[in-house]
Formats: sequence, C-alpha cells, structure tokens
Amino acid sequence: MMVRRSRQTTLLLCLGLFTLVNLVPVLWGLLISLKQPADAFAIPPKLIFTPTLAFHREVWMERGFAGYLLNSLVVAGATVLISVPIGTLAAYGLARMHPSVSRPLLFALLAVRMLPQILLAIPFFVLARWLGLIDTYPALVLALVAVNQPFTIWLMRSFLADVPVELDEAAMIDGCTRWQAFRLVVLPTVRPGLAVTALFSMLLAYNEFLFALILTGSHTKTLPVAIAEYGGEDINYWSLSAAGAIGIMLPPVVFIIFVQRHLIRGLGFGAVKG
Amino acid sequence: MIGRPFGRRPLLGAATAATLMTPALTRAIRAEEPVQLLSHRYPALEFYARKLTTALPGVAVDARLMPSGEAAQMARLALSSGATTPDLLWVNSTTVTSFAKSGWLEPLDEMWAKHREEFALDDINPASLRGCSWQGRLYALPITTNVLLYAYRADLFEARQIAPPATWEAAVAAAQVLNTPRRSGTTISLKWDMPPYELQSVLNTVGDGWFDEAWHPRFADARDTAAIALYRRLARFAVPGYTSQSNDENTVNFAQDLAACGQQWATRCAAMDNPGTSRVAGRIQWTVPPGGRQAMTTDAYAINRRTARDRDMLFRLAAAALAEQNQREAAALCVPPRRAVLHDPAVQARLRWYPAVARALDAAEPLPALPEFNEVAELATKRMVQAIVGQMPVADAMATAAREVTDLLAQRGYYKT
Amino acid sequence: MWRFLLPSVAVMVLVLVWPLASAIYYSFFSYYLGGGTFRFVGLANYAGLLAEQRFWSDLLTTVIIVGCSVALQLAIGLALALALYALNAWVRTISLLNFLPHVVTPVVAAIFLKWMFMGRWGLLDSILISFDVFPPDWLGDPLWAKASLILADTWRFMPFLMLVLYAGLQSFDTALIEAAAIDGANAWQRLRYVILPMMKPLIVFVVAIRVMDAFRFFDLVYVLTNGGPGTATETITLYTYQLAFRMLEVGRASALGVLTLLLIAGLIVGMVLFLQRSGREVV
Repeated sequence: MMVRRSRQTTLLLCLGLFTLVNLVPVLWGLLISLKQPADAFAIPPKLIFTPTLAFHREVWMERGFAGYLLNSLVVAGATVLISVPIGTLAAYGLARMHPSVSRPLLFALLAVRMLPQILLAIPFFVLARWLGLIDTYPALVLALVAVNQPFTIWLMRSFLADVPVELDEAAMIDGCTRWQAFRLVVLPTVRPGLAVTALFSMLLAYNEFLFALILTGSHTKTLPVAIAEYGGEDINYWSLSAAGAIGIMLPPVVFIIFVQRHLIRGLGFGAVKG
Repeated sequence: MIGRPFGRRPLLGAATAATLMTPALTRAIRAEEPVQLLSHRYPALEFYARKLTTALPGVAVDARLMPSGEAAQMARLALSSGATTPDLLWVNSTTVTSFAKSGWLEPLDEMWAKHREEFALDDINPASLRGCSWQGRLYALPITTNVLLYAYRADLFEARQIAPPATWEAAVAAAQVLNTPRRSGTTISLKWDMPPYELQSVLNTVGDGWFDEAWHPRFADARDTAAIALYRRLARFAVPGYTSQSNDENTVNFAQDLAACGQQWATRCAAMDNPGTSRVAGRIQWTVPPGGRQAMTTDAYAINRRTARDRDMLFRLAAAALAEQNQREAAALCVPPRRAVLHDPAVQARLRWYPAVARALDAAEPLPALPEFNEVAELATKRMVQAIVGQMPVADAMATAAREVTDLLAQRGYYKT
Repeated sequence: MWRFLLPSVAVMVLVLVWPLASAIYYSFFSYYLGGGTFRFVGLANYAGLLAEQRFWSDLLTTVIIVGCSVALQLAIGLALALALYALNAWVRTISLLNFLPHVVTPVVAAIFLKWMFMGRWGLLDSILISFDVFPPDWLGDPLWAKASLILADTWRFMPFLMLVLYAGLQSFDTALIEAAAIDGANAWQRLRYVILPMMKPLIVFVVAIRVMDAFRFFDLVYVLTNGGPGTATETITLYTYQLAFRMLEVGRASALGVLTLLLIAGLIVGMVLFLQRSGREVV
C-alpha cells in the first residue's frame, strides 16, 4: 500500500512538472501582456514587476475586440449548429452503407482536407464577391461548414459505426421509420460523440484565420483576424496581441470545462474503431 | 446543446442561416456606404486612418488595417479580381509600380494640378513623390517617407573612441571591436519576408547596384559579390537568429542592449527613445548608413481604378488627411513628406533624430522602380541570405541569383530587342 | 440511405466544388496575378515543378519535419495518456491543462513560440544567458531550426493525441490487463504485448489525421523562420504560399497544391493498404 501511494505521488509530481513546462509558452505570453515592453523581453527574464492591465483594457475597451469576440462566437456557433447536424446525418448514412460504397466516398472526402487551404482562398474570395457576400456572416459560415464537413463526418461516423445495426432494425420492426429510428434510438446513444465533434468543430471555426481574413470586413471580423492585425510593426502591438491571445482562449476553455465529462467518454467510445 | 431532441436542429440551423443573411440584405439597401480603406498598420498609419474619418464632413470611412504582408496580399486579391472596393488603399514604393503597371490604380496628375493650391501640395518633398510615381505619372499621395538610418550606441562608440563608420569596411571593423558575448557588435535582420531593404546600401556602395540600364541583374559581377561577401563577414558579429528577425526583432535587440549598432528605420526611433519600450533610451544616436545610398520607401494612399465612388472626393479626402497640422502631430511617429514639418526647428529640437533623418533622406536611394521588384527580391534575397549564412559559396549564390532573376524577367517580357 | 447524405453533400458541392475545380483548372494555365496573363500550358506547370531541385528539397524537408514531429508527439502523447491512465487523482485538471496549447489560436501560438525560441531575448536564451551559457542559434542554424519547428509543432498537437489516446485507454477492457498482471507480466510486457496491440487501430487513426494535417504545416514555419535560414526549413506549403502570394504565379502554385494532394492521398492509401494486408480493418 505504501509503495502504491508513493508511486502515485511520484507520478503526480512528474506529470505536474511536465504540465508546468508545457504551459510555459502560454504563461510567458500572459506575463508579456501584463508588462511594459521594456520589461517584457529583458535579460535576465523579469519575474517581479509591476503588472499593468493597460494592454488588456486597450484591446477590449478601445480597440473593439469585444465586438470581434461576438463575431467569433456567432461564426463558431453557427458553424457548429449547421456543420454537426448535417455531418451527423451524412455520417449515419455512410455508417449504414455497405463498405464497398462508403469507403471510396470517405476517402474522396479526405481529399478536400488535403489541398492546401491557401489555394481555396482565391476562388473563395472571387465567389463570395460575385455573390455579394463579402463581409457577411453567411460567407464565412458556409465556407467553414464546408471545410469542416470531412472531419465532422469522419469523427461522427466512427461513433455511429459503434452503434449496432440491430438497434435500428429493432426500432424499425417496432414501427419506426428510418428517420425516427435514427432520431429516437441511435442519436441518443452517441451524445458524447456529438460533444466531441462539436468541440473540435468549434475550435476549428473559432480559431480559423485565412478564410476569416479574406471573407470578413469590419462588420464581421473575427478575433483571430483582429489579433493578427497587431502581429507586428510596433513593439506595443505585441503586448496588445498577447493580451488578445489570452482573452480569446477563455471561451473555449469554459466550454471544455463544461463538456469535459462527455469529452473523455465520447472520445473513448468513438475513435477506437476509427 | 447536448441532450435535446435532434429534429429541431436542422430547423434551428436554417433559422440561424436566415438570420445571418439579413445583415447582408440590409447593407445592400443602405444608401451611402462609407469609403473603404485598406491599409498597412503601424502607429503612423493608424493615426492617419483616424484622421481620414474626420477629414471631410459627411464622408464616413471604414478602415481595415493589418500588417504589410497581409495588406498587400488583400489588395492584390481584391484588385486583380476587379473589385470596386477598397476605394482607397495603402501602397508603398514597390507595390505602387506593380499595381500601376497592372492598371489597378487611378492616375492622380490632373487632380493634383486641380487641388494643388487648396491643399498646399507644392510643399511635399519631391523625394517622397518619387516613390509614388511610375513612368512619369503620379499614382499615390505620400503619407510618410521612411528611410533607413544607421543607429549606434553613442556611449559605447565614445568609450572606444570609434567614430560612426563612413564605409562598410569600417562598419565591419566597428562591429568586431564592439562585439561581446552578451552584446553583439551589430544587429542585422534578414528574415526573408520583405524586400532586402537592408542590403541596398552595401549593394550600392561596395557593389554596383541591382541592375544595369536594360534591367540585367549585376549580382554576378565582382563588386556585388564583394558586397555580399562583406555582409557575410559582418554577420559573424550579428545578434544570433538574424535570419528569423525583421524590424520588430531588430528593435528589441537595440532596446534590450543586445547590439551596439545597425541599420534601422526612421519610424522606429521613437520607440528607441522611450523608456517604456527601451532600456537604452537616450543612449542611441542616428546617422546616415556607411556611404549612404540606403533604402527608403514611401507609404502612400492610392485610389482603386474601379472604385464606384467619386474620385475627386477620394483625392480630397486623402489630401485633407495629409494636412500640415496632422503631419506636425504625427511627427514623432513617422517622417512627414511636407518640408515645412521636416525642416521645422521646433520639430527638430523635440525629436532628436530629425537632423539625421533629413540628412539620410538626401543620401538615400529608393529600390529599383521595377514593377516586378518584389518577385525579383523573393528570388535574389534567398540566394544572398544563403551566401551570408554560409550555406552556399558567395560567388555561386550570386551567379544563381543572377540566372534566376534573368529567367524571371525574360518570362515577364523584358530583354526583347 | 442516400437521403441522409443530401444536406452535407449539397453544402460541399455548393461551396467547395467550384473552388476545388478552379484550383485544379488553374494548374493547367500560366496564370500570373500581376499582369493578368492567363494562357493554357497543359502539364508544363507540373513538369516544371518536378524538374526543380527546390521542389524535391522542400519535399524532403517536409517529410523530415512531419516524420519527426508526428513521431515525437505520438511518443509524448502516448506516454502522457498512459500516465494519466495510471493516475488516480487530479486526472481531469492535468488533462485539461495539457490540452491548453491546442486551444491557443494558431496565429498567436506561433508568436508565443517565437518568444520562446528567438535569439538572445527569447525566454530560452535569456534564461541561459543569465548564467553565461551561450546557446546555439535556435532558429538560424539549419539543424536547430528544424528541431525547433519540430518541437513547436509537437507542442501544438501533442494535446490532441494525448486526449484521443487517453480516451481510447479508458474504453478498453481492463480485465485483459489485469489478467496479464496476474500472469506475472511486468509493466513493460503489459504495455508491449497487451496495451499497444489493443491501441493499434486508434494509433493508426490519429497518426493518419496528423500526417495529413502536418503536410500542410504552415503558420508556424511562416512566423518562426519563414523557411530560413536559406531554404533549410522551407516546406511544400510554404513554397505554395510563396508561389501564389509573392511570385503571384497562381497557376504554378495550384499545380503544386494538386501535387501535394496527390502525394498525401498516395501516402494515406498506401498506409491503409499496408494495414489491410496485415489484417486490420481501418475504415
């Protein structure tokens, strides 16, 4: 028993130490956002300093980041709300098809994910401009839904493939239509999978930069684009982008804490047979 | 969203999509759109973008500002696809020739003549205007003329009794003498994501420049090769990481007492002299880089040729933002194109780098006014950096650069007799 | 069954087919964004790229960076997953904290990492220099620059592997592992002969996903080294970017993009075939 406990303590210590090291870049970014630039890059590194919230205040209050955060949340939310349901439907369809049919389709889907995105950027821009959708939410949301589909479908399919076909069949014998069987019987069993898929879709949409840069304007600009606008050209901008970077992390972190229980379980169910 | 019946969700999605559509529709109906500005972002350009919004009564301006690479990329994307916006856009000495050659910019000569007196345009520095023209026509209004200075630590130079170098050979010697493990002899910034402004002076004074009269590159000749070989020697005393450093990192190198001297843009002087951003405030002096003929570039506003707005109004908008009063206010942030401000004794007394800036502007030489210069630089800089870091013998690298650039320009229709 | 695919397929056709098709279409043209040249050239763009030494050296660089970073993140991710599995308390907190690097917006993650690796005033250097140790040039030395990028990519994506693998471990039947323990297998043997074989499909899945994405490795290289010094860290995607947005050669850039697509597709299909031959169902 004693051996066990001391082993646990050692393990916890090692993991704790690793976690700390792993988080250094984020923590250092946090410190930079709280320092004057002259102190931020001092040698030796300054750990004791008078913190300033000036940069945080500046980005959120004066430079309109609160509005951009709202844009980001709208875009990420809408993307998840559209992408996950339609992706789940497609995944269900694929999971219940004969492999000889579904397999080529699944690989064709992956091709979408393999083309460097910068090449899609130019046609996307031309298309969106032609439709008059530049600087509107639908342009960016549709683009993100489309590029997220392959990942969403693959992930959801791996969850749905774990649900025995007998379940659908039993429901249909009981008088359900195919749609009712899916909605009332199959879907509730993959809720954790939905949480996982929603999380990763959300992260992809929320953090996306290139399409957001090209398809948004001052009405719909998302937070990553706004932060990148302060990526350089002045030393103060670095402190501003660090402040923005810390802020942008908070909503997803809250979301993860919220769904964490589902997350671990969901990933466990799903990806195994991936 | 977990645990609700699923059937509602597609509906919900459709509803969301419909709601999201509405701003697009309402915006199309709205009568007077604001003028769209696309600009590079640094404090001076932020300042002028702000001034634009109040420059003309009744004209609203919607400004999008971003780092130079993205701004140029967005401008290319929009202009090449024939978009009517942005109406006003930022250009610099290199992009202005490229955009003008593609036919994307409105020539401004007539409007300039018409509004010359109203906005006192004669006061604008001819050096600044040079960077706004192509083939004799004016395509942009200059906001600032940025120029490379030689920044050096006056305290260290004095202690060692070294004078600011007059030649690049002397610059190497100074860097060697001042080099210590903690504080490098010089800072150089050769991150390959912008034209090689920093190599301009050494290529022009030790070497014999970029091109001959017929745009044949001169890289492979003995003098240009010697210039890059000299830079390779200088790089031995440079702050480590210089291939991944550009102007920002360069500024931190100075500010954190990590380098004794080096080239630096005039826009960065204010940050060097501010104790909030620099640990060596007050200890840096500026002068003309060794031998002069260093890079300068003009940031300017141009008008999209396909804009749906009244061009005369756009010109007046930009000209009003560049009024003398505004330039005086922005003097700490950038070098004003108006001579009345540049040579104003009050400004020169307040901002101690101004005398050096005025001299540097006289000595400077813009990068070659070749519309394809960015592409040339993309190829040539890579080879020159390979030579400087020692991945390739200098002569080989320069010969390769010359060959690649010749091929490129031949493809673009040059050298036809 | 097909009706279930309709909405998703509709969106993808609506949004993606045109851009995808135009990228492929452009690849057969000499399309110069600067002067508006647009001329059919057949396979010349492809032939030109395949004859270029730069293409092959970029491909090699990409393969090295992808190979090393995926291997490293798999090793660390697996070790962490196993450690979390063996841990009795604090599991959720530790897994959440280690997941954070994956949440950081990519544009900012690159800047954060630059502040680690930058010569002299980067955190790494500034600590060492304070003890009068003068470290190598993390981003300026051809070898170290690659190593730094590998480490950077590992930092970003290891959390993804950790989470998926840990979740996989959770769902396994613990009886098998216990049985092995009773039979006297030590920790290493249990790992080697029981746990790893069970996890093989899952490992294949995450490795495939990561290889696919890592081939498009862009933001980090762009911000940290921009392919330098020289071309030591230039990847295929960075070259595509430079062709499209710096050289304005959209035609050649598209051809390079299509080549990349074919390469990754070949790699993935090869992987799947190999696994099927060794008797594993992957899809």
